[in-house]
Amino acid sequence: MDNNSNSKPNTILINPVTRIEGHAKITLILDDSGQVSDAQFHVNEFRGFEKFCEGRYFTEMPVITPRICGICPVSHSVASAKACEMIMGIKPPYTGEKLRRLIHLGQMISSHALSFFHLSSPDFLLGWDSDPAQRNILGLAAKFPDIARRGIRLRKFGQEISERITGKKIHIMGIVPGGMGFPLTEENRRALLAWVTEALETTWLGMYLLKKYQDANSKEMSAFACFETMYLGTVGSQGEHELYDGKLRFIDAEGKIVADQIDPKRYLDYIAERPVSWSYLKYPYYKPYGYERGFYRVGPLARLNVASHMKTPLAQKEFQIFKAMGNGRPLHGTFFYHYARLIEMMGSIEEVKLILEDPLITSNKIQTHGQHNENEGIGCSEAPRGTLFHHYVTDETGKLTKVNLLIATGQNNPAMNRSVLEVAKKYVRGKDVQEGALNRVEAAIRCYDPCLSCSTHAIGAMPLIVEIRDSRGGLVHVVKRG
Amino acid sequence: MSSKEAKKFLIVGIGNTIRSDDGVGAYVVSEIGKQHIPGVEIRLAQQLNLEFLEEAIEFEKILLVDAAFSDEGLVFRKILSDGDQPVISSHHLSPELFLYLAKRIYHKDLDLYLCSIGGKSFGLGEQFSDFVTLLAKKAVSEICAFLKGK
Repeated sequence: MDNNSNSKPNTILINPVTRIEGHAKITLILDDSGQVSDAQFHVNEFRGFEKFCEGRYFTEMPVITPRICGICPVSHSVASAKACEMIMGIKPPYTGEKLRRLIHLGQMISSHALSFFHLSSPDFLLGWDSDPAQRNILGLAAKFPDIARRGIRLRKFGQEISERITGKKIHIMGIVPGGMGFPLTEENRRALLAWVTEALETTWLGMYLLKKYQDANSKEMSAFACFETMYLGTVGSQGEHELYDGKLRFIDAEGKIVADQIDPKRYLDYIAERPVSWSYLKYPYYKPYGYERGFYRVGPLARLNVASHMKTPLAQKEFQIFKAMGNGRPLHGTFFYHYARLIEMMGSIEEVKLILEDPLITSNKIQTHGQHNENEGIGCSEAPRGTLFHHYVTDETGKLTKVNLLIATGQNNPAMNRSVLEVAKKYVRGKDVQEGALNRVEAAIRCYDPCLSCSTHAIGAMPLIVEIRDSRGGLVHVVKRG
Repeated sequence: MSSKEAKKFLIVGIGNTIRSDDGVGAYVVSEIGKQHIPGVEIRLAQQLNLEFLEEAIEFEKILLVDAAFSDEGLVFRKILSDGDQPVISSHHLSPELFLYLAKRIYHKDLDLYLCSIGGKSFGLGEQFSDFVTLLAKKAVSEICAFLKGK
């Protein structure tokens, strides 16, 4: 990560990347003719959860691991509880599972709302080339206060689901091995149901804004960081989009299903990881194809690319439009992550309504009890940013001896590098780095809504530093903003 | 929302309670809450965030109680300016940015105050430094006296 290395050719450094979850920087490497030849997306954080959880009793994990992230704590808690349930040999009762699904959908809504309305929409509502000091929530609030307000309320709706079940919006504690620790009261059920119509309206508004932008910039958006990869997502038994408890499906770049209905417990048969020297994120790949060919993406775009259909009518209608755009092939344009995110949000709100209308959702029969029976457990769920795996190994007393967490952003790491490279090749020309070009490079990363461990979440006012180095590593030019 | 009658006084304790002195805001506000002062509502939060705006605009006055990296001890100030925008994040808004967003998004001029308590120790732990323990007691006393004298 040392950009002063004399072995470096011409290098452009973007640090920090703004409006993403956590800290990162981008290095663009130029060849001797000044053209971008490579890109590296560096993750500078190291938190060591896998290591410091060793020695803990396994049932503590659904409480510890949500602390990894303030945006997707529910997915960590769900995956963790499932891993524990495999160790205990138990399953949650009907209502326990439904409540988990409800909270999980709430998290999906709140995370997607934040990503779309507050982090990414400033790019296309205020313009790629607008003043970066205003191209963020500040500018959005000043120019489009109603959109900002609606985005806040939609995010709040998702968080309210958690709060009305567990008493907490973030870092919830109610998901336990065997089910749930808290039931849903009738009063809270009604309160959440009353919010559904507004949540759907706001999602339609987002859809309208995105399509308006896509229609006006269709050429650029279709080509934006567009490259072929495989995709991974979880699907139900009929191939339907499934966020909480699906089986793994991999498709290739043509859209052909290459592995389907794979039990997530077998993830190591299909996914391998390779470390790189310049980032704490590892490079996962589809194991049967090897590192060079097994490059895959996860997250909203991947989930819609792999799914055969959606579970709810409004989302299904939009899904058909999404599929038609690809003419039977996957959509590879990275910008379409935003579209996929909105379709997922719509489906999630519809599913929330269905669950809340289930008369058994307020039942108190929410938890199965069990004990340490096996020494290994694997849990999986879709997080807002992609497929998440928790893998625990214990000793005979239930203390953890090994923890492996395969996180969505890690799986998208190779794709983020490639996206940056594609965009930089198109918009960056030697030392002539325009603001709009920088933002497009950053925006390519933001499409993935990467969550780099949630310690800081910059949304616009942070400084951006670009260093341009000659072929011997010498600093020849610095561009600063902020 | 705007048709509702405005609530009176909201006091928000901000901070991480397992980061030693950073938890002093939560402690002070919890102590105030125990006194059940009429017209006063309390909230505890790790950070100010966007979602909190909608609730805050319903109150006539808001007091944020937060630890600070400062040697100034106990400081009360009214938040007046939305001019300088410090580093922002979706997890955390500065009081100035909070004021700005309330005005822009909700068209509401918040009557916003900050009680900052200069901390000495922000490492992992649930104990306050001696200095902050004294300041916390002083803060509880002064805020309660003010609220009861209203």
